[in-house]
Amino acid sequence: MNKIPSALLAFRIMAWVTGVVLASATVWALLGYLLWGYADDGGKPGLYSLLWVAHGWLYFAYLIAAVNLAFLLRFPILKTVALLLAGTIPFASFYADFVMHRYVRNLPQTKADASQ
Amino acid sequence: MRSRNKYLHEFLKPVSIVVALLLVGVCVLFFFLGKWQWDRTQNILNAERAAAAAIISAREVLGPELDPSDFGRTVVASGSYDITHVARIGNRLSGGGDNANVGQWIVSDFELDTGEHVAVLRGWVPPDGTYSTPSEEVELRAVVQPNEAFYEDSKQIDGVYAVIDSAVLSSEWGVTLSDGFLVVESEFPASPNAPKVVPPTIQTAEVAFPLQNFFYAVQWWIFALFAIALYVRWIMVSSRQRDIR
Repeated sequence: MNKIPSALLAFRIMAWVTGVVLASATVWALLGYLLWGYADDGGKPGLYSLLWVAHGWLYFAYLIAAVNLAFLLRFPILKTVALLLAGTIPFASFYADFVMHRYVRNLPQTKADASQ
Repeated sequence: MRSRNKYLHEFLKPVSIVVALLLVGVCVLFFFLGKWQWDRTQNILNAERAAAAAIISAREVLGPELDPSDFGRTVVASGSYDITHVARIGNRLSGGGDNANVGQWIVSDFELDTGEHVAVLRGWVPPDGTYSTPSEEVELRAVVQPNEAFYEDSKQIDGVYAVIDSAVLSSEWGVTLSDGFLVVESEFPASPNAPKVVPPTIQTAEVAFPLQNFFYAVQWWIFALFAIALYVRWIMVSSRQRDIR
């Protein structure tokens, strides 16, 4: 059984879920610190803090999905680390998802078969 | 044995050693990042507790609806008792164990200097026992408590109430009382025959737990463990791939 498509789908889901939460929290933080004075009084809404905590836990799921895919594709360590870090940089996980799909699409059949 | 040698061989390769050194650096960094967040959690908790423990004026707390985070908070209030507005709360114990005595709590209408009224639990007396009430102005040190919400439909029997409920006492006394009530810790000047002071049910004001910093601390430490697991798996996979080649 070829494990790559399911690993790729799991990675896509986690890249988007983690990416959307991180992007929302980042935009919120920028608005909060630039316009709404979050730096002064510390009166941040509960949902704002929850979003950052949620990103932390979702990132674990992202890590597992990304490591699974990286090992299946036999990525070298640096490429693997870059893939993992993409979940911590705002909007980078969307790009990582795009790159991974393109990479798998262009994969020679032999390499895909080898991981079956 | 053979597989152990295989992993050892992989581990001793220069690239594995370099990655292992980086891993140690990353783990140390993550440990201290976690500890930093842990310390922040403790500092925030301590600061919140110190703020909640500070004695403030009752006026800052009292009102039509108490903030639950103020329950258990110690306040000071100056004003005077209205000796015509007194309620007895029945079946209340003084002392504990075999030495517990059944008696009543004395709750009085207290008018602050600023005009607000609040129900004040002055203390315990034996059933139908006598006590003195200062007629001049007094300064109270007291603890904020929520209304005793149990027995909602409790009635007063022979002038004795089952629970302290500021809404019931408001209509009985014809004044607008603050939500909740105060439990006296001390009265100044002290009355010679005052009711025996009782401990408040809720003794410390609650503070919000800094969940965000606590989770960050835990997450950094799990990241460190994850990095170790990733390294071990990388060694295993690399040695297996070498075997295949």
